[in-house]
Amino acid sequence: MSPALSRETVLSRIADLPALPAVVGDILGAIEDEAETVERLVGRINADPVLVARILGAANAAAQGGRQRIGSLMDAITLLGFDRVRQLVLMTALVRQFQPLAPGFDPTAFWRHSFAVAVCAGVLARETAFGEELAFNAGLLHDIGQLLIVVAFPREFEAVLARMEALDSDIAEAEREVLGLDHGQVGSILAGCWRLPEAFVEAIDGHHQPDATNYEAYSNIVHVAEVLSYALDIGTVPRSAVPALSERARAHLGLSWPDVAGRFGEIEARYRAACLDLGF
Amino acid sequence: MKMRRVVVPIQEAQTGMLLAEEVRNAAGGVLLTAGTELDEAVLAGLCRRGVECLVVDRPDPRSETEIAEELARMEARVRHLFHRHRGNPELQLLMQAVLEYRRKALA
Repeated sequence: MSPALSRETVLSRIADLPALPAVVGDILGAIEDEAETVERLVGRINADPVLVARILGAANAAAQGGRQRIGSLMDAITLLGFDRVRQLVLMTALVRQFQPLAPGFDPTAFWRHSFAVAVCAGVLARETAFGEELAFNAGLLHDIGQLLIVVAFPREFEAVLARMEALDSDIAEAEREVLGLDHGQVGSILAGCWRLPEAFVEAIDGHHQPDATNYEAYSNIVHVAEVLSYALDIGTVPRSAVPALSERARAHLGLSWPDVAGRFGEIEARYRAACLDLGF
Repeated sequence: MKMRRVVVPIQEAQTGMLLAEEVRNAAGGVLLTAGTELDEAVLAGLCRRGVECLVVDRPDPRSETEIAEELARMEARVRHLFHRHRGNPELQLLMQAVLEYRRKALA
């Protein structure tokens, strides 16, 4: 077996992954700065026929009851709202850019799981009065470390899968045993290189071990969201199982399951909507 | 025919469906009351107001046997998902919440 991963080996292989699309960097870096970014984002979308088509498709699906067809980007933004459009652009650009091929890795299952955690994180954030959009985006990105692992270390990834199978354990546990780092830790190195805001670096880093880190809300939200997505069986595969939950993370957010249970239907519907919008 | 209560994303909402619960905007104001029938104008209005999900009653064509089979499959799946946590009271609570939700949704 090759030596365990270190921060340096991870850093040396980041170029194995395609670059983060510019439009994604714009959206993630500029959430607080909306007015100035609208024009720039519209410009970027207009320059990208795939993004335009995706947004028009979603707008026409949403307006299916009405008679008029939505034919222009500005009409679609008016109908869907800028938040939804930003979300669609982010999902479309990420899914399109990151489709790694490796034995044992299914990109569609990967993105479905990411949508599921994003939807759960958004709803949990709203329940706990944290930023819904930031939480959704952190959920969308929480497993990016896995993309780098499958591309740059495919043999080690296969060993992780075998270990996970043998022990019926969480993937993160198997990664720490086989690689020395889990995909959250790898993802946080990647997020740092991509210069994503610190909230994302932390949320990605700690999502499997929130107790081992000392991060604030978003790491806890993504951790609990992931458990919830498995519990609700969204974005899962037949052999999926609910991963370990940090009781401390749940309590820290002040969430109670009976309260969250009132949102189960909404979570399922939003997940379905995200898959429909992305053509999954 | 028996009806079944479901949450649907707005993309799957169809004219003729009946709202089972009121629809509120982000600020909590009621946009539509329970019992409203969806037509094109209503759907377009909801969409413009950023409403993403609706609770509606749908006809349920399943027989009692089919429902029982579905419930059994669902229970087995939920127990499989939680099989690593039989001794964890916290996750048992979550599992009970999921089972209760699914039983209500399926029955």
